[in-house]
Amino acid sequence: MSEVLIKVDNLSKAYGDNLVLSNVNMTIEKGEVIAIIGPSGCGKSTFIRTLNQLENVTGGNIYVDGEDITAKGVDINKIRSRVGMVFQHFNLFPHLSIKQNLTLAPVKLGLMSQKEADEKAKELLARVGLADKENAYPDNLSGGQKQRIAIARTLAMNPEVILFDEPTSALDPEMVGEVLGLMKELADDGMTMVVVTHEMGFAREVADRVMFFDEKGIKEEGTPEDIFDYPQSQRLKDFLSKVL
Amino acid sequence: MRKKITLLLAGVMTAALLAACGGKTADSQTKTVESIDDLEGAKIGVQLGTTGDIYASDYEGDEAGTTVERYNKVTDAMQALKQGKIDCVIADEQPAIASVEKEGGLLILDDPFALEDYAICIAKGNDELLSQVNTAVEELKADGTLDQIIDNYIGDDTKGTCPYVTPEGTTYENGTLVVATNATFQPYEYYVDGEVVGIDMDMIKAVGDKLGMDVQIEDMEFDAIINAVNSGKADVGVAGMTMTEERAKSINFSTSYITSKQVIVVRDSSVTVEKQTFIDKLKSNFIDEQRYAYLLKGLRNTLVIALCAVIIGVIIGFLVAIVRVTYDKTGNWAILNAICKLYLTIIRGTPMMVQLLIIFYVVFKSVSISKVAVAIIAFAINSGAYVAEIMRGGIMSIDDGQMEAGRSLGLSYGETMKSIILPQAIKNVLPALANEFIQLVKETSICGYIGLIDLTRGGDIIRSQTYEALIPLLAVAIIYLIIVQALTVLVGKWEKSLRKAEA
Repeated sequence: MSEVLIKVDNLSKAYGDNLVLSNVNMTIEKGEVIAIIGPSGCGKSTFIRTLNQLENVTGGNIYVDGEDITAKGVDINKIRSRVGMVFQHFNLFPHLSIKQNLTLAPVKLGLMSQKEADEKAKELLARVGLADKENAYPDNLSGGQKQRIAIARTLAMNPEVILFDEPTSALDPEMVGEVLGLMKELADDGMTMVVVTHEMGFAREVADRVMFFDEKGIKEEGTPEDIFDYPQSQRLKDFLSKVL
Repeated sequence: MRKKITLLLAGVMTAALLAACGGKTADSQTKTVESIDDLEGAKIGVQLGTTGDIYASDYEGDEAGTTVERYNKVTDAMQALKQGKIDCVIADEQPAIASVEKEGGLLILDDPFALEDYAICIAKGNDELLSQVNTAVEELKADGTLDQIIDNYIGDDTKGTCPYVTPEGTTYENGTLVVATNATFQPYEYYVDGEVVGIDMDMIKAVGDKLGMDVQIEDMEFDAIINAVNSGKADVGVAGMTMTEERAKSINFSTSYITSKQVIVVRDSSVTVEKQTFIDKLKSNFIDEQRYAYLLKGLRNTLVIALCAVIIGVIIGFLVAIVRVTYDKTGNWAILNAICKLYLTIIRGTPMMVQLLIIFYVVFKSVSISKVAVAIIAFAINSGAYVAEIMRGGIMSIDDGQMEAGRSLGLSYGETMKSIILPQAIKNVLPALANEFIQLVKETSICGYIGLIDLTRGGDIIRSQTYEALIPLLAVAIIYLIIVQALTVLVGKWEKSLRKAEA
C-alpha cells in the first residue's frame, strides 16, 4: 500500500462565477478504498467526475499513474479506459443486450477480439451473479441487477480504479444490499475504488479512508473510526447526527 | 378579464360573419352581357396571362366596377361561367368554339372582341434562331403547308382529312428544338392519348423539319412560358401567343403564323343542357381515350418523387442534425453549424413552391435534367430541413448519461455517437420520418407548376379535356386520401410493434 495511483493537486472547479470546489488535495494509493461523504450540493459528485474528466477542472492538476490528465493534448480516451465509472442511474445501453453492453467498448477499442470479450463477459456475469441474463435487455432487469451489470461493464475494461457516483441512491431499499455486497467483494479482491455514497454503514465497514466534503472541499478526512467515532468539526458532527 | 375577451371574440366573429354574408349578396348580382358595350361593370373571366387577360385588365377597376377573374385554364373559366360565378369569358376563338361545343349551354357573341396575331416567341438575343424560324414560317405559308395544318383542325369539311406529315428524307442533324407550351388550348395545343397535339404543335413540327431539328414538347403553365424561353429551359414558346407590346418587351416574336379573334363567351339562356348521367361522366373522364392513364402516370411520379426525396432528405437531415448536435454539445464545428443553421432558416422560412420554382428556373436554368429529378432534388432539400430537426430532437431526447457512459468507457465522441446515441435516436424518430414521407406525398401536388405530370396535374389534364371539374378533382382527392390513410395505418401499426419490442 504505497504506490500512488491518483494524485489530486490543488484542484478547483467553478461554473462561471460559482465556485464549487476549491483547493482540493488528495492522493489515492493502489488498492485503497476511499469513501466520500457529505451533504447534498457539497461538490462530491462534481469532484469524482473530474477524476475521469467528465468534468474539466478550472485550476490545479490530476495525475493518474503520474500522467497529468488535465494537460492539453492528453489522450483522455486512453485514460478513461483505465478509470472505470459506475453511475447513479446505471446508464446501461438499452438498445444492446447485456452481453453487448459488456463487450462493446473492449471490442471497439481493439483491446479484445469479440470472442475474447464474449468469454470475459460470461465470466464477469457469473461473477456478478447474473450469468443467465446474457441475452436479456436492460429494460427487463431490476434496478439492483442493472447496477450489477453496470459494474460488470466497467470491469470488462480491466480498469485500475473504479469511480462510483452514488451507486445505490437510485435503488429501491431492498436492492441496495446486493450492490453493496458486490462492491465489498471487489474491495476485498484489492480493487482501487473511490465511492461517493450516502451509505454510512458501507463507508465505515469497507473504506480505508473516509473524506467528508463540505464547503467546496475536503473538510475532514481520516480512517472510518476517526470520522464516525471521533468527528472533529461541528459540521461533520451535525452531518452525522442527521444521517446516522 | 377572460369574459371580456370572450365577448370581444364573439363580437369580432359576428362582424366577420355579417361581412361575409354581405359580400355574398353583392356577389350574387349578375349582369347580362350581350355585346362589348356591356363589359363595363361585368365580371369577366380570362385565362391568366393570355391576351384576353391583358385586354380585360383595361376594364378592371373602372367606375362601373368591372372585375376580372383570372383562371389557370380556359376550361376553368368556362366552368365558372356556367356556374354563374362570372358573367362572360374573353378567350381565343378556337378554344372558345371547342369549349362551347363540348360544354353546351354557352354562346359566342357574334362581334369579335379583338383581332390578334399569333407568333412564336424566342429569347431576346437569339437572333440566329429568330431569322431561321421566320424563314421557315414564310416558306410554310408560301407552300400551303400552314393552311393544310389549320384545315386539319378547323373547318367541318376538312377536319382530320389532311394531317401534317414530315417530308421524306428529313434528318435532324441540328439537334433538338425544345418547345414550351400550355396544352390546355384546343385546337392549338391539347392532349390526345397522352400526346400534345394541335395546330401549333404541327406548325412547330413543320418548322423543326425545315430547320433539321427534332421537336421536343414541354408542357407548362401559360404564364411560365416566356420565363422558360428566356431562361433557356426552352428554345421557343408556341402557345397561341398573341404579339403584344407588353410581351415584346421581354421576348422576341417571329412573324405571325395565324390570325385569330378574341371572342366573348356568355351563357346561352335559351338552351337547356342535356344532362349526362353520372355513369356517362365517369366513362368520359376515365375510360374514354384511356384518360385514367394520366392519373396512373401522375400517381407514379408522385410516389417516385416523394419516396426518393424522403430518402435523400433523411441523409441530408441526418448530417445536418449531427453537425448541430455536435456544436450544441461540444462547441466544435462552429462554421459548419452556422451553414446548417442558415440552410434551416432559409428552407423552413420560405414556401416549398417558391423553392421548387427557384430550383427549376434558376439553379437548373441551363442544365438539361429531367423534371422528376428536379422535383426530387427540390423536395429532398426541403425535406432535409424538417428531417434535420426531427433527428436533432431524437438525438437530444437521448439521456446525457448515455454519452457519459460511452465516454467513461474510453470510447471517442464519434464512436459513442455511432454505436450508442444514433441507434437509439433513429429508432425513436422512425415514426416521425414515416409521417414526413406522408406529408411529402401531399406536398408534391405543386409539381404541376414546373409542368411535371404528377397526380394533381394528371387530374388537371383530364379536367381540361372533359370540361368536368368535379369528377377528376374528386378522383385525385380520393387517391391522395387512400394513399395517406393507408400509410398512416401502416405507420401506426409499425409504431405499435416498435413499442412492443421495447417493452
